[in-house]
Formats: sequence, structure tokens, C-alpha cells
Amino acid sequence: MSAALKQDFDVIIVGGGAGGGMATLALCEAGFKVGLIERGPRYQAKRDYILNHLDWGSRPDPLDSARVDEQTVDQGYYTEYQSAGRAMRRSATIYHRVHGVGGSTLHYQGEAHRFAEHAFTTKRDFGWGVDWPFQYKELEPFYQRAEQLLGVAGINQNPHKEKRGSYPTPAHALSAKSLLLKHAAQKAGMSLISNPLALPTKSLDGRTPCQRSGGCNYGCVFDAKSSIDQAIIPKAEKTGNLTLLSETRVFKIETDKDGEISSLQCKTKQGIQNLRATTYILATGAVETPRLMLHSTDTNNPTGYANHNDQVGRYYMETVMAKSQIELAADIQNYSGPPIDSRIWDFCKPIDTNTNGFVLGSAAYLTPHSHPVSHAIKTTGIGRAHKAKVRNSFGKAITLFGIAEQEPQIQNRVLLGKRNDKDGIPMVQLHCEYSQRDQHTISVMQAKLKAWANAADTTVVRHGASTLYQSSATHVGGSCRMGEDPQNSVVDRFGKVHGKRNCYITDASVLVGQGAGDSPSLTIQALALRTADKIISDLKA
Amino acid sequence: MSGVLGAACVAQGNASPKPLANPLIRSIVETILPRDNFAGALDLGYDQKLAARIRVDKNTASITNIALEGINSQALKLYGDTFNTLGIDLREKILNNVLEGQHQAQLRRALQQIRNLVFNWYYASGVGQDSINYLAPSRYPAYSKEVSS
Repeated sequence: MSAALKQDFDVIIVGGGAGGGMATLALCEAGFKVGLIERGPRYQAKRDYILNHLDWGSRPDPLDSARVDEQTVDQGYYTEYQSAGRAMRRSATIYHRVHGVGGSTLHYQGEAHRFAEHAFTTKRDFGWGVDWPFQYKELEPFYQRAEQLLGVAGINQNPHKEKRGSYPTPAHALSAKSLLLKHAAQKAGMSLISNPLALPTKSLDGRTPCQRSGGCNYGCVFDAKSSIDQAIIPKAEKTGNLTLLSETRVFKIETDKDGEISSLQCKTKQGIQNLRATTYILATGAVETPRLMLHSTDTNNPTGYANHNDQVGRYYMETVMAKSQIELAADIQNYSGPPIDSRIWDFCKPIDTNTNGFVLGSAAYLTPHSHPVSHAIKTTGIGRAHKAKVRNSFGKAITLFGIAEQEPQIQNRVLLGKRNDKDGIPMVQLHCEYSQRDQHTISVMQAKLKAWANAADTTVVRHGASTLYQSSATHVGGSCRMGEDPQNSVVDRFGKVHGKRNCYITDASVLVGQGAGDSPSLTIQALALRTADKIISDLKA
Repeated sequence: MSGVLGAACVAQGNASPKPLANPLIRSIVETILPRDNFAGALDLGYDQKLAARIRVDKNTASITNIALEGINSQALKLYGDTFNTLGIDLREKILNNVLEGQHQAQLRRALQQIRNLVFNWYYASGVGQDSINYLAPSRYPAYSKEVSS
């Protein structure tokens, strides 16, 4: 331990979300002293979440405070570009993420997808994008490990994905809305199947199994959802090797004369201090990680940490989405059951050379706008007719959506803006153009959604919403992407920052592509486990 | 306190441990959210709740006064009776006309606020949520078990 004696920890991990959490567990279990820095608090479900209250629709959601209170994204920046001779202008994305131990897994709906095999080779197979530096098979065992840790509930029935073993817990029964939408999908020539979810159907580690209360978005009040704080951090704590530094923000990466990280300058509960480790992992997401790196300038890194090839922040990808709002005629109780318990994967392999891979799905859950109080207020009138109308129309609204992967483009990037946040750190400008292929994919998704909605017994249908002019997204990625060539990537095939000795990245920023519309959480976690294995072998060497 | 609201509140006296609400308040609250197969606003004491709020909140007192005076005027003008003596059909008709009408913006806004207040109370309650078959996560059996354990 001669070198480590000078350090606070063997490994410091910045960010307690999907990637940071998984890496934390793997390193703690391997015997390393880990300092996990998380900007937000550690929430207690029964104390903090709005779903503890019947009037939750009118309460401020603490999980949304990162978006509402903090100024990460400069909303005054617009992406302006020419597309097929047409002037396009996109507003800054509304970036949804959570500051808190567990990160965005605190508000995710538990979707636990392995990316399809072809999503790793879009260049080879379809002629666009870029191939990952490894293929699906190399990640498969890490997917399996992550699924086991999360107790993913699923059924092995997806013909569009690689053959695989059984899931750790049995699949959820399809909700009432999914059963109706499955029938509609069949009529429209599509096949709806069960969605694998990190919402265990059986008790894991003494935790309550999923209660199908539909409240995943606001934090699970049963502690049943396998968010990082519930499924992973307690295991890491049991090793005795974890020091959890919540409500601590890293201001700057400090480097030594060789340009390697020497410490992290942090704002802690006790004030400003520098924390040191042998190895550092950045895992604050595809916006905050490049932001921290670009902001961390010094003589060795004049344009930002590890940005000598001007790659940090580039190839940023958002969620490309189209939506239709429908209300089903039947009483489907949209508030009951996992919010996204089914999907249509028929189009996850690009249907032609002009289209990205995408998936279709339906989201049904209550929001503050559809909470019983809001619903009653929005329903016109008073009296007996109003009461009956409220009863008959409540819980029927569903969003049908299509999500595509965005074509990675070099000009799409996370940039530091001129305005600072309240801590004096520059906000980011998100420059994100949609390619012709992205735009075409939206129109294809819209047509599929229309066909699906028309085949259902609906009372209200509204088509046409998309992210063409603005994205409201949780799933962003690619801004410190993985690759063999430092000229067009930031980290190597194991997540180690090119040209650096002691820094790795384990968040969505390393994603090379977005998995044809699948949710990225499980892939981030599998990659983090893989990176952690590499760090373990390096540190033990 | 002035106007219809003040006069009626004084007339109620304090015979009951819980102060009775103005009959106009009672009838408006009942009309907004009547009893059907499920309890209505009066069953849950929202008339008293509104009366109690009027006593401590000037804004509520003001809008309620506007609503009561305006609605009662409508009842007297259209049917020659005070609002609270009319049957449910006519009472609903009056309130719906006020809410849908293009005139009397101040009265419409006042009634809208009382309506929304009653809906806020009712649909954030277990009874109100039962009436639409909504079981909030905090009312699941497993939620209570966890709390007690």
C-alpha cells in the first residue's frame, strides 16, 4: 500500500447512478477502498418521495430538482443548421436526470434491455454510424451479471434479440392496457411482447417485490424497484470498503505535471477540499462528464482534461422520439402495473438504408397533470354529470411512442457556454442536429404509431408530436465515446481515457450508439462492470 | 365580513360544537360535488372546511362572497328563490351556466376557484380516490406493512 497511503481511496468514483453504482460494487467486492462522490442526497423512500402522499400531484418532486433548480443546460442556446436546403432550429433539450444516490435509476421505469447484436455493428451492417470496438458477445456475460444483481423480470421470447438464458425473476403479467394494445398491434401487423424490467417479481435480498403500483417515476415507495441505491449500494456497503460522499460536487479535475489526475477539487458538506485516489472513474452522465472535463483546464490540458484531440463532448446523441396520445375506450387503469411493460421490437433492425433502428412502446402512468385532482379540475363542469365523467374518463390516457437511435455526428456536441451556474461552473450548450436519416425515421415512426393507434378502440387520438424541434430526454449519450482511435473517441474499449493512466469513464457518454431505441441503463451497467474488471486486474497487476 | 356571507355566518350562531356553514355555502358545495354511490362534499364536511378557511383567509372569504352573492342573485332572478331552496337540477344548471358563461367574469372566476378547492380536497382524499377506483401507492397493503415493520 505504499502508493495508496498518500491517497484518500484506491478508487474515487464520481456519480452514483447506473454506471458509477455498478462499478462501486464490483470494486468494493474486490477489496478496494472506494470513495463514491454523489452530488445529490441519499433519499429515503418513505420520508422523501411524493407518492407517500395522496395529494402527490401538487407536491414538488425532489427527484426533479436537478432539472428544475439547477442550471446545467443553457436554454438560450439553439441548434441552427441547414437540412436539405431547409433552415432548422432546435431548442435546447430539456434534460431529465436525478441528483441523488442512484442517479437516474431513481426515476427510471426499470427497463432493462440488452442492446441487439446488430446495434454494435451499424456501420458494417447498414453503412452508417460507427461500429463499437467490440461485439455483443463480449458484453454478454456482463449483461448477465447486471441482470442478476438487479433481479430483472422477463421472459425469453424476443425474436429480434440474441438467444439468451432465462431471466432472474419471472416476467410481469401484461397489464390491461398492454393486452388491448397487443391485440391492436396484431391487427396492424406488429407484435407486442413483454418488456424486461428491473422490477423484480420475487423478493431479492429481503426487499419487497414489485407491487405494480405504477409509481416508478417518482421513486419507489416500496423500495422494490432495483434502483442503484436499493439493489447495489447496500451490497457495496456490506463489504466495509465504501465511503459514500453524498451531497458533494466535484468542481474540477486537478492534474499533475504529467497531465494525470492528482486530485478532485470538491465542494463537500465541510467546504472545499481535494480528494485523492490511485484511480478515478467519471460517471456523471453524458452531459455532466464532458462538462467537468472541458471545464478542467490547466497547462497540461489547455482545452480541457483529455481533450487534446478535441473529442470530449462530440458525437453527443439525444433521444429521437415520436409520440401519439390516445385514450382507450376500455377502463384500463393506466395507473396499475409497470408503466412500460411491453414493447414492439419489429423495427429495431433498420427496415431500409434510410431509417435508423427503432422500437415502439406505450407508456401509461399518472403524472401530476393526470393525478385525480388535476383530472377532476380539467374535466369541465360540476355536479353529478361531472363526477360521473371524472370516474369514466380517469386512467385511460396512454402515450404511444417510438424511440430511435440517433445517428452520431461529429458536430453534435456538449460545449461550455458563456453563462455560469450558481457555483460558477459554465453551463453547457447542447448542439444537436438531426440528420436526414433521423428525420426520416421520425416520419416512419409516426406512420407506424398511427397504424397502431387506428387499430385500437380509442376515444381520443392525437398524433404528430416528436423531438424534431426539441427533445425532452433522459437518454443521452455518446459525448465521450468508446473507440480504438483517439482521433475519434475519448475512451478505449475498456472505458479508459485515451492517453491517461488513471482515469476511466462508466456512464452513457461512452456509448457508441444507442442500441436501436432500447433503454441504455442495463448497457451502461454492463459496461461499468466490464470496466471495473479491467481496473481490478490493472490495480492488482 | 360583509355581504351574504357575513349575514349568513352570523345567523348560523354557535349552537353546534362544529360551526355550521352558511346554507348557501352548503348548497353550493353540495352542488359542486354531490353524493352518489360515493360520499359527496357535504358528507366529508367540506362546507365546514370552507367556512373555517374563510375565517382565516381573506382571499377565500372574498371569492366566496363574490360567488355566493352572484349565484344567489342568479337564482332569485331566474327562479324567484334563493339558491339553497332550489332543487338539484336547477342548482346544477345555474352553476354550469356561470362556469360556461361569457359574461360575469369575476363571478365565473370566483366559482371556479371554489370548485377547484373542493375538487382538490375530494380527489386528494381516500374517499375521492376510491370514487374513481384509484389506489395510490401509499394505500397498498404492502406499504403499511413496511411502515409497521
